[in-house]
Amino acid sequence: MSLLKYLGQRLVYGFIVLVIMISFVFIVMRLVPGDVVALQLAGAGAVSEEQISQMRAELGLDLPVWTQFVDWMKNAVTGDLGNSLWSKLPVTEMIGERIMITLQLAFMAIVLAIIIAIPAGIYSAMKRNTWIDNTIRVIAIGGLSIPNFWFALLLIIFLSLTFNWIPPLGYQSFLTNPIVNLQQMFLPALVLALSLSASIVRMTRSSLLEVLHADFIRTIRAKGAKEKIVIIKHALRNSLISIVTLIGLQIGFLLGGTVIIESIFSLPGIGSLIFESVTKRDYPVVQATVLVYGALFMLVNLIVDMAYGWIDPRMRPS
Amino acid sequence: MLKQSKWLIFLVMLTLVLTACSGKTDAPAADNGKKTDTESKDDGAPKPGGVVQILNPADPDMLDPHKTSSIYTHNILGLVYSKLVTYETGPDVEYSEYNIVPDLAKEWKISDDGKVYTFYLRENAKWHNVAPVNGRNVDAGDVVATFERIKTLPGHQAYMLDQIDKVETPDDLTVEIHLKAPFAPFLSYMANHFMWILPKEAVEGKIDLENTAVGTGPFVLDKWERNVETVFTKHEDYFLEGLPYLDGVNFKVVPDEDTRLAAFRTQRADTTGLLSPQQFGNLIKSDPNLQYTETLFPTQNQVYMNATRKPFDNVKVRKAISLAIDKQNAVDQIFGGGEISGPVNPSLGKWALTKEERESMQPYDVEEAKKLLAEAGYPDGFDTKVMVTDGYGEATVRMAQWIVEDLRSIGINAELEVVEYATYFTQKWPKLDYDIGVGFQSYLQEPDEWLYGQLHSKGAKNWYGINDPELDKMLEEQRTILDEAERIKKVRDIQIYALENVVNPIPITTHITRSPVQAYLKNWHTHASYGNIHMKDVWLDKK
Repeated sequence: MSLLKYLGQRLVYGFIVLVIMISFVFIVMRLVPGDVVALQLAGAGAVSEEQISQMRAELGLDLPVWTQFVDWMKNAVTGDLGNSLWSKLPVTEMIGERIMITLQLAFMAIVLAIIIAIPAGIYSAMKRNTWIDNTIRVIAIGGLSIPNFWFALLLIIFLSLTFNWIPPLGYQSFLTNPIVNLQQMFLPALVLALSLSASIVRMTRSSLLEVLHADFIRTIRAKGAKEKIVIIKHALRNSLISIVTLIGLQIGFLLGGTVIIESIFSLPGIGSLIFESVTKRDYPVVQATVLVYGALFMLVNLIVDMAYGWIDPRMRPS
Repeated sequence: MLKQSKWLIFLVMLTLVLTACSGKTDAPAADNGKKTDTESKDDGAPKPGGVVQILNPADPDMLDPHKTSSIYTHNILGLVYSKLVTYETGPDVEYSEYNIVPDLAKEWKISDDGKVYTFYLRENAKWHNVAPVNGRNVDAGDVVATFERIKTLPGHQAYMLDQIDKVETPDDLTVEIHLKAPFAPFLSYMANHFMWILPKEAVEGKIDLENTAVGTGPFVLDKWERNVETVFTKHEDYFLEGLPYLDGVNFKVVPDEDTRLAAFRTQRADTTGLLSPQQFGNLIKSDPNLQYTETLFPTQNQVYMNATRKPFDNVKVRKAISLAIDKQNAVDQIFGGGEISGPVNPSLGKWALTKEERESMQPYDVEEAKKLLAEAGYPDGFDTKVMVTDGYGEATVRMAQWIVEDLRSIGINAELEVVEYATYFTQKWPKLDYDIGVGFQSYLQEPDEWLYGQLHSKGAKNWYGINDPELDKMLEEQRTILDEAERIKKVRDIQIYALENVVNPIPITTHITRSPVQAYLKNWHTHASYGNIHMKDVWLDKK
C-alpha cells in the first residue's frame, strides 16, 4: 500500500515538473528571435503581408500565445501533440519512429556496458594493485578520456580501409530486418558502451573495495565462506546501490547524448530531431520532444529509485 | 612520489600516441586524379540496368515543389517531374552552361513582340502509372493548373510568373502564354526548378503533394522513408526513347561526412556529394586514380553592408572595404581554391564577367583602401560589427573571421557577431539590422535574380538598402531586351556599374567543389541547376 502511495506521489510530482518544464519551453521558444513563417518563405521576397498573415493563420500562429498554450496543453493531455509546422506530420508519429531507435541504441549500449564493466570491475577489485588491476584502470581512464565520436570515426575509417566494410546504410528496424538492424546497431552501441563501461568499471571497483573492507565481510570470511560467495553474494550486492545510481544517470545521458553517434552511423534517432526542430523553430516538435525527454528522464529516475528498494530492503519506502 | 611521476609520464605518452593516431589532413594535390571531363567522353555503348546509390547529408521536410526551396526537395523532384523546357546536360556541356532544350514541350515559339510564348507538348509524354493519373497522357490542362497553383500560393516562385497576363490552350497539346510586357528572363524561368509540371489531379488535391510526387520524369518515386532513404524506379514509358538507362536510383541520408567517405570507399555509395577540401585530400591520397567532378560552387560568399547606416552609405567606405579583403588568398586557404566572384555568379557562364575582369576590377590593395577611407573622413577607421551565421557551415564563419582581420589592417575595428541561422535569416538580414554581414546567396540561376533581385531598389532580395535610380533604370531595361547577345552586353554593363559605383554586396569568392564518383558510373555530367537532370543519361559499367 505504502509503495503504491509512494508511486502515486512520485507520479503527481512528475506531472507538475513536466507542466512547469513544458510551459517554460513553450514561452522560451516564442521569445527567441527567428520566425518560422519567414523561414519557410525564405528568399521569396515578393510575398505580401497578406500572404504572410494567411500562412500564419494556417499554422495557428496568429492566435495569442496564451490561447496557443492552452490549446496545445488541452490536446497534449489527450495524447495529440500537434503537427509539425514544416512537414505537417503528426508529431507523435515523428517522435514514435525515432525514439525507438534511440531507445534500442541506449538499451543495447547499457547491456553491453554492464556485460563488459561489472566483471571487469570485480576482477580489478579482486586483483587490486596487480598489473591486471592497473591495466584495467588505464583502459578505463582511456575510455573516459577518449571522446566517443572520435572513437566512432576511427572505427569507421579503420573498418572501411582495412576490411573494406562498413555497416549497411539505410536504417532498418529490428522488426523488418533483424540481421541488418543488428549490423547497423552493434557498432554504435559498442562505442557508447565503451565510454559508459569506463565509469562503471571504476565505480564497481571502488565501491566493491570499500565494502570489502567492511567489518561484516571480515565476519563472513571468518565463517569460512568461499571468496566467490563473499564477492558475488555479499560484497557486490552491497555495492550495487552506487552502481545502479550511476547507470540510471547514464541512461539519461544516453537518451540525450547520442546525437553525434547517431549522425555518424546514420541512425535517424530522436536527438537530431530536437536539434533540427529548434533550428527551424518547429514549435510543436520541440515542445513534444522536450516533453518526451522529460517524461523518460523521470521514468528512469523512478525505476532507479524502485531498484534501490529491491536491492536494499532498508531503503523501501515505509 | 616517484611512482606518481611515472604514471604522469605514462599518461602523457598515451595522450601523444593517441593524438598521433588521429592523423593529419592535407589540402588536395591539384594534379592528381581524373576529372570526369569531356576527355572521358567515349564510354562505349550504354548498358541498361543497375541502381545508383547517392548519399545526401539531409532529407527534405516535404516534397511540395511550391512550398519549399530546399535543394534536397528539388533534387528528388527532378527525377520525378519534368518542366516545359529544361537545361541541356551532356559530355559537351559545361556544368555552368545554361542551354535551354525541350522537356515536356517538344518545341516552342516566341512571338516577334516577345509577348506570346507558345509551347507544343509532346504527344507521347505520359504520367507515371500511379493512381489517380494511371499513366494518362500529359495535356495542356496540366500546365494551366500548375501555373494557377504557383500564382495562388505564397512564396518563392510566384514572381517568376507575375508577368503573365493570361494562359490559353488552343488545343490539348498547345499552351499559349501571353505576357503583359516583353520579359527576357521568361524562358529561363520556365526552365527553373520551381516550374515542375504537376498533374491537374494533384492541383485538385487528389495527390498528397507534401508526401509524394507523381510526374512524367524518368523515374517513379517508389518509396520515401523520411531520414532514411528515397527509392526511385525506372519510368518505363518515359517520353525519351530508350531512357533512362538505370533501373533505379536510391538516395540515402548519411549526415556524417566521414561516413559518406567510408561508404564511398567500400562502394556502398557511387558518389558522396560535396566533400570538404581536407576530406577530398585524404581520399585522393589513398586513391590517386580517383575519378571526380570539379566544379565551381553555383553561389558565392558575399560581404554586404547596410547602406542605410553611416558610414556605409559612402561608396568610398564600401570600396575601401572591398580593397582591404585579400579575396583570392582567403578562398584558397579556407575552401581549398576558387575564384574571385562577380555580381552575377560565374556559374552562369556567358552572363558573368570573365575571370580577368572580376580580378582586375576587385584588386587587393591595402594602401589604396586606407587612402579611400581617409578621403571618406575616416583616417583612423571606425568601430563596427561583422555579422555571420553558423548555419552555412564552419567555412563561412572562418571567412568572416578572415574579413575581420583584413578590416583591422586598414584600421576598421570590427567585432565578429555569430548569429544563429533563423535569427540571421528572418530578423537581422532582411530587416537590415546589421552593419556588415558575411554570407552565402542562394543558387540563383538567372542573371535577373542576381542583379534585379539584389540591386534594384524594389528587388526581392535587396536587403542592403541599395537605392540607385540610374541602376534601377538599367536593371529594368535588361529585362526587356529579347536579343540574347544584346542582353548579355547590358548585363555586363550593369555588373561593371555595380562594381564601380555600388560595391555592395561585395561578391567576394566562389569556391571549387570536388565530388568523387565511382569509375563505373558513366555519362555522369552534372549541371549547376537543381534536380539531378543529368540522371536520365547515367549508366553503370558494372558486372
